[in-house]
Amino acid sequence: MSTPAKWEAVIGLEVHVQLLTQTKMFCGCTNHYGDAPTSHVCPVCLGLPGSLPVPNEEAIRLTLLTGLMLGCTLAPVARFDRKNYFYPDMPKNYQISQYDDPLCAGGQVPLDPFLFPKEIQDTAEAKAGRAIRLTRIHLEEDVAKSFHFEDRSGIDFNRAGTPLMEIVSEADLRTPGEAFSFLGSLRQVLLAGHVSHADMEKGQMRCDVNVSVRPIGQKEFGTKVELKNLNSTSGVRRALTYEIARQITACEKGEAIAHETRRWDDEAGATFTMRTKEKAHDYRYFPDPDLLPVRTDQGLLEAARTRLPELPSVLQARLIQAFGVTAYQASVLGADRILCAYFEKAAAQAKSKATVANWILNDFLSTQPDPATTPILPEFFGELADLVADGTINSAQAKKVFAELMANPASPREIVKRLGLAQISDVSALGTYCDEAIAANPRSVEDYRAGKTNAINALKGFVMKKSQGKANPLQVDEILKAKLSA
Amino acid sequence: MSAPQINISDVASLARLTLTPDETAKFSAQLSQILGHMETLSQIATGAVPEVTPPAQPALRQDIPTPSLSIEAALSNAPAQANDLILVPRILE
Ligand SMILES: [Zn+2]
Repeated sequence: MSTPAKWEAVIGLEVHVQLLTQTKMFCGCTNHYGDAPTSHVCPVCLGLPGSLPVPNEEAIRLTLLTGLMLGCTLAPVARFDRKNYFYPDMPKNYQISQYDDPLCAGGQVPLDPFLFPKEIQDTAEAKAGRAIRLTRIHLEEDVAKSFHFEDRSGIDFNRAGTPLMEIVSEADLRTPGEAFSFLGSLRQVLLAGHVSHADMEKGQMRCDVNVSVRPIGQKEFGTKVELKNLNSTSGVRRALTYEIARQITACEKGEAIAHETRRWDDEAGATFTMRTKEKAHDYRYFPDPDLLPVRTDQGLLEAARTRLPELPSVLQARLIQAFGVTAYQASVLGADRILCAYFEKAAAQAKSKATVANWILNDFLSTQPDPATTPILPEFFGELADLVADGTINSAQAKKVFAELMANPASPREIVKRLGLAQISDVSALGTYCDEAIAANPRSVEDYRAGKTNAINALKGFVMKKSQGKANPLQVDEILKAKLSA
Repeated sequence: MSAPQINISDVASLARLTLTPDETAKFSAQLSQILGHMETLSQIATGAVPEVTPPAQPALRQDIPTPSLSIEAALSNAPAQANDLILVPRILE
């Protein structure tokens, strides 16, 4: 799995993101996936002669917002260019994209250590806290969807012309785990800004990978290979792991790496040559004469700025600071804004906010709730945590309250009454139980006094049983110790 | 001034055009001439001339859906269709 120490991989990603707009990039057709084929098309997105594109201002705002969230430099003036190539999914024979003057340049994606694959979150690689630099972000139009039949292909143009944002990273990534975290961390930012649902498995986020290997210490890059057909973040990781090992093996045998595009086959767990890149594509980019340059400095940028959300890293830091949750809990909460809002409400008034986090993230989450619609009010978890904190119930009783809360939602205070669960903290009542325990277990008393301190557990068990689990265990411990050493 | 040379067969293959030798010779000369004009233009010193930025925002579109074509109308010019898809020769990756 791991890269032999002599070699390192150099990885760059190109990520395409579908934007959450109502309409397409240059026409008013609906931008919606899953409807009847050819139902969202018009002369513009079919590339019929005489039609003219008009840019969707919301798509531009969402791209600028992404640039703001990722710390990019935003262009005051941006241009659209034509990228010329022939392919049946591209009706105009050119794709409107951005070449020389993209909307955003530079920026970076900080890697969230908890968005590395689970089994390597404890490694130095995950904890390094690297930020991956971006080259640029530009806006373009998506192509149609193709279906391949035996002797022909069928094209559905519903997706043709929908807004597509391309985020290009620098070749800063070094490991498959970093690429995995990059995609997850980027997705969290896109979700925070309501820019995209960015689900790779649904094609809302698509990723091409460039990867090469070189001996550690060498400055020059090796020959890079492009990987395609990556349909999930774990697929990206598996494909890279395979491809890096393949390239290293070839290099160690003294074989040259071909400059080519390879297709990842998830089932076979291997990459295969798709086409060699003997001749670089010549897309003959030129400024689209149908589209004037866009001035972002006349309202668009300001509109994007007003939508800046609390970024994942800022939110996580605040959760740790204000609620005392762990870094891991902060990452889990940060990844689900609805759950996070639920937690913040639950913990707002609670005495032990970290305990509220435990209840929600361990017990509540394991019931797979929908925090947006659950009948269990967030305040109930604050109350439950308080009941334990102030000694009204012990933690075993709290588990019972939680179970009842899930079954018949009500205020935990009421549930405690309903189930008659309140903990006995009355010293004289507990003292009586302890006296009974000592009288009934002379052997354990003897053992305890002889130095076997564990023997006290038998006495505690007796008290808990006698009190039907209601005795305050901390107090019982204190009282027993006092009585035994008397 | 010698006109710049252009690899006409390269351009033709990018444009999916098949040219006869006669056409190749004719278009080579014509396109070289056009490129020659461009060379003339690029001799003009423009370094000190500020780039013209568009004075105003071009027309943008609000993100509000407008009616699309009916499926029948959209498919009416397609040479072949099936299941509301436009059929094309099989695409080979
Ligand atoms: Zn359209």
